[in-house]
Amino acid sequence: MSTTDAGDSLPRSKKRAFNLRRREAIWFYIFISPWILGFLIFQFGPILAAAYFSVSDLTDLNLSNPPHLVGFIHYKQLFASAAFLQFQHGIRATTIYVFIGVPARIVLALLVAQLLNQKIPFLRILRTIYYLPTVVAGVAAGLLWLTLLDPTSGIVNEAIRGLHLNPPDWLGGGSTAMLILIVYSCWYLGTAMVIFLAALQGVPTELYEASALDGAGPIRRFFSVSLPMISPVVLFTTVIGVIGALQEFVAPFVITSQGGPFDATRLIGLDLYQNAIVYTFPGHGAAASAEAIVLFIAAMLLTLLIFVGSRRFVYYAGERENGL
Amino acid sequence: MSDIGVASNAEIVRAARRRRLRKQATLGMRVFYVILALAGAFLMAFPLFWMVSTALKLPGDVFATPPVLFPLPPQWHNFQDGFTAPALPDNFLKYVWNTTWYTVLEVIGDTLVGAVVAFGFARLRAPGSTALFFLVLATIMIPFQATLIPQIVLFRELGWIDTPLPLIVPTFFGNAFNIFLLRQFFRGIPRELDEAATIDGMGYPGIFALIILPLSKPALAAVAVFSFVFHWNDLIGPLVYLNSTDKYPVSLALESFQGAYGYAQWNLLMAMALASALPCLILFFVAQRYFIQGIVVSGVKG
Repeated sequence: MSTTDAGDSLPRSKKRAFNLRRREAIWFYIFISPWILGFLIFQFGPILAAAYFSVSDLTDLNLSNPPHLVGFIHYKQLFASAAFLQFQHGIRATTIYVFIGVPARIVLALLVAQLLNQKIPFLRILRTIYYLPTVVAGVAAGLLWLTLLDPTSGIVNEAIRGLHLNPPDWLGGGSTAMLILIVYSCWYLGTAMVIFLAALQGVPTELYEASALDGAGPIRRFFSVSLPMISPVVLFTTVIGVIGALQEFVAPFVITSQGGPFDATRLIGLDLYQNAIVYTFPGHGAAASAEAIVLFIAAMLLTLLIFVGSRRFVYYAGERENGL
Repeated sequence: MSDIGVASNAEIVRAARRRRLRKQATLGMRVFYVILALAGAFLMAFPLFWMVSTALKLPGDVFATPPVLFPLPPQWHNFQDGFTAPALPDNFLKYVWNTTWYTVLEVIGDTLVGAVVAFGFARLRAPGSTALFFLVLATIMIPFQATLIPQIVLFRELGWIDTPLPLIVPTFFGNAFNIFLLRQFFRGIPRELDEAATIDGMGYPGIFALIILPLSKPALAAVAVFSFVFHWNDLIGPLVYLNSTDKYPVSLALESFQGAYGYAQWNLLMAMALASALPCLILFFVAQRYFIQGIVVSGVKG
């Protein structure tokens, strides 16, 4: 850049460098053009459109009846009207699912990763087993859990009866059904566990040796060395976990028969789907769009909250300077 | 002199005992860890074991008390019976086939386009590239349902409802996660290779196709396996866009036709659940290291 003064003496090579740089920039935009198009068509455009629909009278999800602006009534109704009790229950269920379910899974994944980071035999097989449920996501797993939890003949209640205890009807009561959804989500701790395990294995052993010399026990070592060293990946996993929880659909759809009992497990991702597609009241498209905007804002706020709130706890080692 | 000698001897003995105790303690801890890890693994694996066990049972054994753990002889015909249950609109294999070709196209889109876009972000400098990459990462935070309604409107206008196009076409525009994972991997490939190729007169498409892609097989495999598992198991997409039962993938067919197996015919239902999960399970056991590597690259080196 200091050559700008001497520019006149090297006009050709400067021009050449400029051309090369411009060529590189043009190729950059050619290579990423699919993503730019996809972003505009499937994400940015739809968010703007949803914002517009949410203040319109859109009913069916097509434009043959062009939507008219009606203002913010859908937002008001969602939070205040008895006609949207299901949504209000959905907010409650989603809050529980996000604020209890996600931390529960992260803590369990940390425990398992710490356990598998000890010098114990069968490490590879154990890691495989803990990861395996993650591969069987979706409806097959949901039906499997229904089978396990059947009140009369499911194996879980058979086992409880075998202990001469009185088993509950897990999916028949609101709080037990939510508990099941959370336990079910913990069954998928595999991804977080693999991330934590790899991060733990990357912690320099000198740090453990130093802290052992200072007389730190295993628990102290975990909280003073391991956890700070892997805190960036814990943050990453928490953010991804929260976003995943906000859009969870299969579990309440399949296991708790569409958000039951009494909307106790009606997660917002399910409620939005039903208002958009299943129900047909006037303005249901607009109401569902308002939900979409609420969901979008919630996702952004929670992400921001986690990043800001974690600043004090997350430790970035110097080596991360060139990463992202 | 002797006093000190005695004292130090006692100290040595005490120190030795302490060491032995600590060794016993660490041995005890290790046994405890192993038991804990095995107990956890049992809880994780039991549901899957129960799926296999139930899938191979006689109808009577499904309700038996005490429960039948190992059905003997295994009822392999449950699969056949489940595939051809009379109440199903089509043979179950029809849904397996639908899922297979939808998923294969989706995996191609995710992997190929993900690699193209990731190459741009990993290798080419341009004004605005950093900001755009942050935008890519930010889109990970957009919940699927937040953009669902306008997408439905768009696909209705295009006349794509009740076709698999709304499921397949978006995968050819790149997905943030895949772009991120592949970019991280591409950045690890030495730039000297690109420079040498440039001197030989190779352009960027050539560098991408002939140098970066062949060196990135593990990362491409990782993206492909995640994409496969995700799309194979997807429920909400097919539920929203497909109406005709003969276009259903296995996820939607299983959910919609549970009733076809009669009330609590769990042996047949579990046989179908197992059949629908089997491709992902096989893929996992064949390509386990790509799953693990992919998670590590995107999660830890991120």
